[in-house]
Amino acid sequence: MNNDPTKFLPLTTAEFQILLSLAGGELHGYAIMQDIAAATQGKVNLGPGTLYRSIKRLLSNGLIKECGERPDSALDDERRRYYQLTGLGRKTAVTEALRLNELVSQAYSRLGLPHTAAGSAK
Amino acid sequence: MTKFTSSSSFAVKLYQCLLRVYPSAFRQSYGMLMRQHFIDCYQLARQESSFTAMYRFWVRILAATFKTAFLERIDDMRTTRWWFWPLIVFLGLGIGYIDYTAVEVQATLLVLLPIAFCLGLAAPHQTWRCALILGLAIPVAHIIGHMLNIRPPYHDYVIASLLALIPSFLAAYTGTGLRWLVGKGLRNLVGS
Repeated sequence: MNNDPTKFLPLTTAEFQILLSLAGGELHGYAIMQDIAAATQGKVNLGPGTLYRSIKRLLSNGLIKECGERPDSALDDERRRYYQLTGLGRKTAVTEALRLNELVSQAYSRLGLPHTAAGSAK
Repeated sequence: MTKFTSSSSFAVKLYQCLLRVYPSAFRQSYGMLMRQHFIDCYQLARQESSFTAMYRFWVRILAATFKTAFLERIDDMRTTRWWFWPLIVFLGLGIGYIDYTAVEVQATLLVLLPIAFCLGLAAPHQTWRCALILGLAIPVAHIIGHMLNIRPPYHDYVIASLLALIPSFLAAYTGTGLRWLVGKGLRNLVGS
């Protein structure tokens, strides 16, 4: 398996958001969707097709792995498949975050936008 | 277990039909998970109790489903026998050309029947699709022949050439049936 995180870049929005969600610990599919919706204030809402296609790609690239099935007591009795980030997945997420940060810095400097402490345009 | 209303059950059944647009390998791996995810999202949307919320929900589901299913099918074609369907179309048009230019219909049948039979034998899960493509390619070849102004040696009836669907289906399903019989026979032999 390829261990160079740059080979998987650029990630799609869905894939990157899934990696960020799993950075906090293992989650099942619906919890990933809820976490992403909360983190993006509802701007990114992953339906079943987008979510599981992205999960399939992340699994095949070795960026995440399955870690068993069990019910989520907060939801219902249905057994849910949980996923967690692999070491390569974490490295890839970090590399992508750095790439996007550099891209944003370039955009700010070329467009003449002033940087605030939080990095957002005024 | 989550309680369903009749509208929820209908929505879930509709979504399960929709899942058929995905390749079968993807459906086998993720179909149940996607169904479960859909149920969760549907119940969340129903909590808003408004037509707009449900309308937005279904628009998102339909758009995402068709888009991701299309992308999955492209990926699937890259990893599987992508050449299969273009080959069937090519064979069908070839048979259509023979039908268009040959004097006797037996010439068409001499080519169509063994090809349809072999396809039914080799690809039993795709029998009806193969038979349909082969059968429909013949009138299509007639139309192309007309457009390119290729004169046939006898009177040409595009509509009548649709009758080729009958021997195409019969031969293809004979091949599939034979495969099934041989498979059953072998299983009985091994079993005994």
